[in-house]
Amino acid sequence: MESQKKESQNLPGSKLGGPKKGIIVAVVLILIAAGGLGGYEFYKSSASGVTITVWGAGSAGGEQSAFNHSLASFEQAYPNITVQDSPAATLGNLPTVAHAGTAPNVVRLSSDQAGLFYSAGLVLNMSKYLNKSFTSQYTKGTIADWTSGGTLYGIPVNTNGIGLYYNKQLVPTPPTNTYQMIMDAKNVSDMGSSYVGLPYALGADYGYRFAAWLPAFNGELFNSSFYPMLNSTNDTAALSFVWNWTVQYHIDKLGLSTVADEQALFESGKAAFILDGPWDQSTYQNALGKNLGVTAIPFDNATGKWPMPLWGSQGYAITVPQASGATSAQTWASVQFIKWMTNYSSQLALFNKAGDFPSLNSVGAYISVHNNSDPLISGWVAQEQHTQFFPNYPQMGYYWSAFHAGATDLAQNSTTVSVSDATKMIEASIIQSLQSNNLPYSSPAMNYLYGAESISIGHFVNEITLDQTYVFAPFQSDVSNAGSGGYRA
Amino acid sequence: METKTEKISRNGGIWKGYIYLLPILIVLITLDFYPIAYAVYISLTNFGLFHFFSFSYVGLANYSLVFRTGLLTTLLIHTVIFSVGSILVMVPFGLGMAVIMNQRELRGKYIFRTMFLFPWAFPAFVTILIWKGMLDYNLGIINKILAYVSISPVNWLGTGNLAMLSLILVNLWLSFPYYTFVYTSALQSVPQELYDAAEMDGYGALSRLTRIVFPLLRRQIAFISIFGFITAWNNFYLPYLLTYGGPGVSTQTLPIYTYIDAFANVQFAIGSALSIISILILAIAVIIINHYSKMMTILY
Amino acid sequence: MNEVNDQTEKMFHPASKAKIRNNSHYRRMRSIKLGITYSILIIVAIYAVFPIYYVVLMSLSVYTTLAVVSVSGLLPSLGTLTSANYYNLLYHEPFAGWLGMTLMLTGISTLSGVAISITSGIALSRMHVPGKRIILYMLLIITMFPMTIMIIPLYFMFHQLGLIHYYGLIVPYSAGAIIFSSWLIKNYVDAIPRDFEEAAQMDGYTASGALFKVLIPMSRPVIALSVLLAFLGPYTDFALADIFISHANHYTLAIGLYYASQGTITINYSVYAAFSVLMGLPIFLLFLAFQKYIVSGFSLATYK
Repeated sequence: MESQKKESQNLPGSKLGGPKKGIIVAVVLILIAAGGLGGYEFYKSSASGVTITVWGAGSAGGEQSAFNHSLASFEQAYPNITVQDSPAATLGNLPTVAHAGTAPNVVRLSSDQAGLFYSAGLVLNMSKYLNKSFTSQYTKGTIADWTSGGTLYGIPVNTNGIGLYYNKQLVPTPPTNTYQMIMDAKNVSDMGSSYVGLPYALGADYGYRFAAWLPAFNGELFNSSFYPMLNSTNDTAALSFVWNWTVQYHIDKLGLSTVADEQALFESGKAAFILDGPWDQSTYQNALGKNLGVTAIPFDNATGKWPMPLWGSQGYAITVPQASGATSAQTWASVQFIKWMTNYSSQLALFNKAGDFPSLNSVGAYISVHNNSDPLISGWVAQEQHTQFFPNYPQMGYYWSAFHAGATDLAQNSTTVSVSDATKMIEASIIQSLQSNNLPYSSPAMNYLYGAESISIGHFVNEITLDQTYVFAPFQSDVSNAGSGGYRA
Repeated sequence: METKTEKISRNGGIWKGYIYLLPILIVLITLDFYPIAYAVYISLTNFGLFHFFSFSYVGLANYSLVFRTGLLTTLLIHTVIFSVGSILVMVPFGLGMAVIMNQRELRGKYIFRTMFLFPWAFPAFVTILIWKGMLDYNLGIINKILAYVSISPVNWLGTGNLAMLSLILVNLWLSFPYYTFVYTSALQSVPQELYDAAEMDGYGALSRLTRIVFPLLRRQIAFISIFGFITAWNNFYLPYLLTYGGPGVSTQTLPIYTYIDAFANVQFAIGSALSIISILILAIAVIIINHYSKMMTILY
Repeated sequence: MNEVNDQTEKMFHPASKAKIRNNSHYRRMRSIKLGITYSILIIVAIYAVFPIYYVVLMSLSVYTTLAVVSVSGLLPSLGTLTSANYYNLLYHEPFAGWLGMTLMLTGISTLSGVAISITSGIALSRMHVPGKRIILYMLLIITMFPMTIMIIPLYFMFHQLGLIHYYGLIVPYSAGAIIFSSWLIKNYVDAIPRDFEEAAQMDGYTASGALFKVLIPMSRPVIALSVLLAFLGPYTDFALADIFISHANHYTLAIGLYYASQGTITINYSVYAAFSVLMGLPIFLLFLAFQKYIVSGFSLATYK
């Protein structure tokens, strides 16, 4: 205390508000300077030629390098267009910036997330800019993924989904129906306690893989008026079927609770099968080499129907001028840009650098000619014949965590929770979310949301078959690009 | 109370006080009240997925909606379990550590104090992601250590109840240094002669705590606990980064559901309504607790 | 004055109490008690330090994934240690630029935030302002609001002002510091007797001159604490920075680390660990430097 007093005595006897006032002045100056700078930048950007901003470039590694490759060639072809890209931007911020009118002109994202933004009116209707002859170059499945109410809202750049990988050492010939699949898996499970025929880890599933089984049991995710159908007899039968792998056939094991668990089993040659997508193919190839095979998930004996994995797609969409403040020149430039990024050479680069399946028929054809010696090709071709539309309506966003909650409950409390309890819970949980978020789920009068044509989701399922056979080569890097929204957490 | 000793003439006029308070008033009004008022306004509209660029006033519809559908109940249960659970482990742990650290005979206090600083001194954002790696079912070091001592691996983040427990335990790790430090300083405010007198009267260590320290520090303990409760209630980064509300919806708390629903599902109005309800519940809880603990008398 | 607690501790250390400690039973009890105490302290210290130790070890390891770390690998052996991860991070990742951006943003907002907090805190404590209680209650209530709810309105507002840019972040960051720090400083200053300013005034200072020149040096602990808290907020903020900054050149460390953890930017786990260590280091050093202030700053500022 003494020292404090002395200190104050030694001070010059002047007015001492000074330093503090100085700080306040400095802060105000900083604020003014910051405001000025912001204004200047705004002036600068509007004064220069056509500049478009782009969010997203795909996953790090191969996809981003393919993006950069195509971007460089685009800038060469269109010297007047400057592209500012933010490869790692968080798409969740898009609505906020769009409402303020500062959205990027172009976004690279999955078809379902783009569908959500399209519902909000953030994303441009592309039908005006692209005619039928343009869209007919793309696979029907990917165009369906990027269509809502008969309107195209983006251009697909790739496509993907799951198939059935098998270990040729344990299963010499792939199964042609589910009975065979279960028997093959059972043989492997019987080889010892460390073997698991068909590791699935239901408790770790967010419903992405499970959705593939619904068509085999005549089930569906949502009916044509967006009512969740999980508690229907057919959907419950599908979940029972998957759950029976654990409790009846013992080809899956309780206690496997993460996707990494099943993958480890398959990689170490202790599993006959695994349901997975091409993004993990390079890992399996490294582990199993020539013993790795892939085939279509086989049809169900009882119903005679095929399981159909959700067949998703990533692509490019353009935000509406109200969201981005785009001039007509910028919109024009954006259309040129996304056409370029999804064209033949861009998709070929994407395939070569990242192993992404193309959405262009012509690239598929090219690959089928140049990679016809690949042993995994025929499997993916077979799978592509049986795929289902990846829902792009906003109701779907509430399916993932609801399914996961039900599946976890079933897997962890198997003695007290039945399959029908789980499906009841899943459906109730989805409905609760839909109600809480004011999303329509029973009224068929959805026209005001999805344009003039009323769409019937249930009927998409069997429509999508590919008119052209195309094939795929080995995947060169870690591709993880199926859809969005945390369901593969 | 202060006005008695304060003479207007001495410290300048009233206007002068306002000049000094001008920056903070501007900050309060522009950067706090305005955004909060805006959030209240949004919560009374249908601003969201289907009414994005032009939205309209809908009154209390969003509020009644989240009440009616039971969504709020689910979220509240998770939020209460997390925040009350956190407090229930953090306060005794912090207090216990403070009592231990406050022993006079202890050597190496500085070393221990520095070590306890670690969780606090690394940004929580970084350490939460480290914990996420450590708790991983297959690859995490914690399950590997358990396996080393022949305990079967635990699916920390993949099982509903365990995920909540993990959240609370990581929260304990993140915040026990704070509680230890604050309670240590509270204990040090108890005059040593009181301890010594009690010791001579034959009180044991425990009864010294319960009969002298706790009654004296009742208000401080209440204050720190309530602040901890508020912090835990609003904790966003921990559940967002560690579990993202999963598995399923079992660790979805109000702050992260609000964020995810507003940003990922484009439901600004519902998200805002939930935030406002969250704040109201918190404020009411704090007022009630304050009524009994009288901790906020420090404001006078 | 700063070391109030140390002083009390010293004051009540009378040697006269030694008499009750002389019998052997007491001494045995005491050593058992100390033994238990040290065991608890060591266990808690391991709990506190282990995750940091683990990440430092990972950052120095030649292994690139979590999968290969084993329990025996927890003891470092020279063969598996390398500084390559740090080298990669500093030379091949844009880490240095992000660090510069972060330090610039946090530095300016900490300075301006703490400066405003000091004036407001002192004014709230010492000056006669009608409605002061209301302001104090507001400050306390505002701390209850989660930051996430503010993001959307703030973005709209800053867009209107043309401040959607990395430097625009300085404003909300400073503001974030002001709320709690003003309140802390106010409470701390309340505990300082008024005699000091009066003495200074007698020495010829003006009223407000005396106030600031005397109280600022005396409030050093709580100012140190405010600096620390004001620094931590922006340094670790992700949600706001993510929406204000869209260009990779302007990323802060928190955004860079988040994207790295999410896989939008690929780096292997050991480089990620090195990132974490480097990001944590400035804060840790700041804490070490201010350690002696933290306890006294908190004790007087949070309650009387």
